Amino acid sequence: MTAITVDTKPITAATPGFWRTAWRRFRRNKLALVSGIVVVLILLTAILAPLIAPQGYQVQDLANSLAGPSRGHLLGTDRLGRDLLSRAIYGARTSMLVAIGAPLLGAVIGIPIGILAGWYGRAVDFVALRLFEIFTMVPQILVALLLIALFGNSVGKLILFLGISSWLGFARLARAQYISLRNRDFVLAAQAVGVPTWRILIIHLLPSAVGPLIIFLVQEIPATIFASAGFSFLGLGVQDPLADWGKMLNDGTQYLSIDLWTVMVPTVCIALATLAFSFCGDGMRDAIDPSSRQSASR
Amino acid sequence: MLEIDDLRVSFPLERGMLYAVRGLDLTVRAGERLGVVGESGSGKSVSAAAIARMVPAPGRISSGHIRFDGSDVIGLPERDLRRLRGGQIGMIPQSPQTSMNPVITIEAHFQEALALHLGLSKAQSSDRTIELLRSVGIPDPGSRMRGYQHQLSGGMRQRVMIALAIACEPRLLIADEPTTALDVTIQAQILELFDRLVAESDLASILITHNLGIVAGHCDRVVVMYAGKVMETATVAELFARPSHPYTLGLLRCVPRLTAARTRTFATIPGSPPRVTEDAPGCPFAPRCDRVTAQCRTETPELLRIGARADGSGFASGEHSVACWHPVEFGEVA
Amino acid sequence: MVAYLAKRFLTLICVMLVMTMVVFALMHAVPGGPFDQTQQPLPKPAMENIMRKYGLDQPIWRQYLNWLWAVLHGDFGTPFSQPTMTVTGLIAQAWPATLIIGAWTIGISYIGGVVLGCIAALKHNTWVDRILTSTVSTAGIALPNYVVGFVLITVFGVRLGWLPVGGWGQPQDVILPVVAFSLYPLALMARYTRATTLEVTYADYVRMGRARGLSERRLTFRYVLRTALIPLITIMGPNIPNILTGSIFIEATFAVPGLGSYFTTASLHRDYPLILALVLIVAALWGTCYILSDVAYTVLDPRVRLEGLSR
Repeated sequence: MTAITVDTKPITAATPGFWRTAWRRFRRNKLALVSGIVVVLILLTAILAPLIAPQGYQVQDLANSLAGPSRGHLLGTDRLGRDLLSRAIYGARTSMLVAIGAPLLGAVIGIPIGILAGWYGRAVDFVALRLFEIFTMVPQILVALLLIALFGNSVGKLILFLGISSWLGFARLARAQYISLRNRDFVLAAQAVGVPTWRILIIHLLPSAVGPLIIFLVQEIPATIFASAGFSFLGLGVQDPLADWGKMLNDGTQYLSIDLWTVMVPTVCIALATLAFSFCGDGMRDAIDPSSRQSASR
Repeated sequence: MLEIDDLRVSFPLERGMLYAVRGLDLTVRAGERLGVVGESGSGKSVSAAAIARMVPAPGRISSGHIRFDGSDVIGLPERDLRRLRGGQIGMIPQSPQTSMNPVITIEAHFQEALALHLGLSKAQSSDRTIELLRSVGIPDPGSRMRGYQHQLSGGMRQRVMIALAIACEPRLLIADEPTTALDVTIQAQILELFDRLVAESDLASILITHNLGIVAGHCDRVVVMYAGKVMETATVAELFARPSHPYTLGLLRCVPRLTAARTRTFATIPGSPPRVTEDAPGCPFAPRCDRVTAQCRTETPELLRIGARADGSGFASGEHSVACWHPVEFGEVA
Repeated sequence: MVAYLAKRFLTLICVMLVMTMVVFALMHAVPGGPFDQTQQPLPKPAMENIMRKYGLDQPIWRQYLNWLWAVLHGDFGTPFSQPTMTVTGLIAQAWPATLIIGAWTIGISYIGGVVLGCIAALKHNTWVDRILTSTVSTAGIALPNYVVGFVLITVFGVRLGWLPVGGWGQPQDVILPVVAFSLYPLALMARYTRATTLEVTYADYVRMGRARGLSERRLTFRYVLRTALIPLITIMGPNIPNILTGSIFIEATFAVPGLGSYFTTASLHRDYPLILALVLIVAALWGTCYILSDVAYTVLDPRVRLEGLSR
């Protein structure tokens, strides 16, 4: 029954007008658009933290510790009398740095492995698949936890270890993409005229594969916020006096029964960020490949 | 046996409506083999689905009458409708590859239908299934029926689908492009099987296709559809001998013929069929027609019977109707 | 089938061997040892004694072989952090809490998720579907479970005082962790169930079944759900070990002394024997569930054959 033909053809990044079409579809999806705006606001907050925050993240006012919202401290203060609003704003900075940095690193590690496995197949693919198997066996969060526990923590190390432990998804996706691209006619044509392999892999094929990879990157961000804030919450992430949402949550839990604000502020921040990034990521996926929406959330 | 009167089917779109069928009139007599021809998007599949009230959601029948053996299909309660589907009207799908439940056996398909419409017991339906599968040319039906659809080839699957369509002794068989998804070599076999079964049990049939060549060999009468409307209808012999609508003529030119001179190029109709999103007056074929006049664009031609001409040219054999302001005259085209 | 299973389990064992080697090497590559961090530095002879006792003075490959040999005999060694116990004893003590929470979580999230997913799909494009998809499934997937945990603690523990804010021992201690932990798998299940069910709802064979006069009820159960739910096994199976080995965050949030919290403390204290044992458990459980879900898939779905599944 092909009674209606609606505009749902999947497009690849190589098609002309790809980004414009995708943007048009994204714009039509209200939830995604609002989430996108929230994402941009969070990122702006992170970048402009020193300009926006009413105080420094480390400024203490011990006389006013664990105070509820007041004119001086819009969201109240923590146990050292530090302004929660300011810490939440600076926290965006640390949290976003890790949340975006780690998946980026994962992409840098994973995509080349996936490309090689998908392109060369046979022995390379076999080794890569066994590698995938090993890494699927232990949950990524435990790998990261182990690395952090063994090698110590700092923002840089958090990015490093969360990045290392997140390469797998990128490698899988890149492999699948390159397997499907490998036998396209334009690849054969490029090979026939003697284009070097690296050039085919990067210049000819990467543009076609980049869309899903970017979406995967965006979809990894909420998972990374979850993990990094989680580690800070366990006391394994960012250290005092630096602000981070997970760290704030950790600080706050001890005073749960005294001052709810210390817990609610970071909770809302984390929830808002994860929701915004995941709705935004879903919207991007639907914009690039509307058929995915047909099965996932039609 | 089947009468369709001014049928309209529409699909709501994000903005506006898609009018898939716009006032279809059609009759099928007992034992008659009707062919419905048109390009994709002409509304022929939707019309066929509407006969058993199976227009895919969100589409719906907005007005018109469908009578099957005198009873009104549109007003039929759910229960009787289900008796009609399968019991009175058998359907043969376009793509046999995806038309069987992949996780139940072939036999189970027959069993549930036979129990529902004929009240057969398990043992009875097994025997009947073997018989049916044999009659459609499935080798070793006894063991085949215990298998699943993925174990059959495309042609075999269509044979099973045909057996399933006739299993409960329907009186009308509707085949929606039954061969498009099959290899060319298999297509002829399936059509031959279809013909044989229709003849053997004296079924009425509706064969939907985009290929006038298929109609020539397998139908008695033809309806040519375009943009949700009937453009022309006639007996097969009459239509081929005296196509009246410019669209029909265009379709006929697209059929490759062995007798045609080799030098003649393969004809095509320029442009593509429209998506009708507003039910505006005028002939829908006007934008692609080479005989178009101002009248064609503003007034909708009605489907009118062609009679014998005053000047004695032409003849009316059976019914031949055309919806065109400037029909092709007999003898005008070689 | 037997040959296939043998092959799959053999691969699993090889992969696990490689993995323990990696973890072993990794832990020994770290500067500093498990006994460096004690407040007062131990006298040198005492240190050497301890190192000898745990075999830490031997070359690394030797240590690995010793460990492997002991493991093959069912001895996972002594945890550095609690020398009076065995690793096996410690795990036996910690796992029940995790298993109880895990079992409840699996039960609630799998059944609830499938039911909600089916409802959403069958009521496709109605307000029921819209609410289920937009709020329940998306929020469940996007919100970190410890964040949900804190909201629950705040509301039911602190404000209303109905349930304990954490700890372990009473029956009602189970409730909040299970709710917080269930949310993600529940949302995941609901989402996949909805997607697979919807895909099938519009399938040609359902249409053709309708064309043969089958009732909507029969079509729903025999044509739609039966085909739609089979692929869920591939999601349900591999998620079981993740849930049964606990969540480090959930156990930290609710102060549950389970496997997850032991993994955290073991990693922090560089308790090699404990870490290795936990990693082995997770991997073995994961591998087994993966193989079993593949087998279950082939048994339930006639389309899939084992050859096609061997990776």
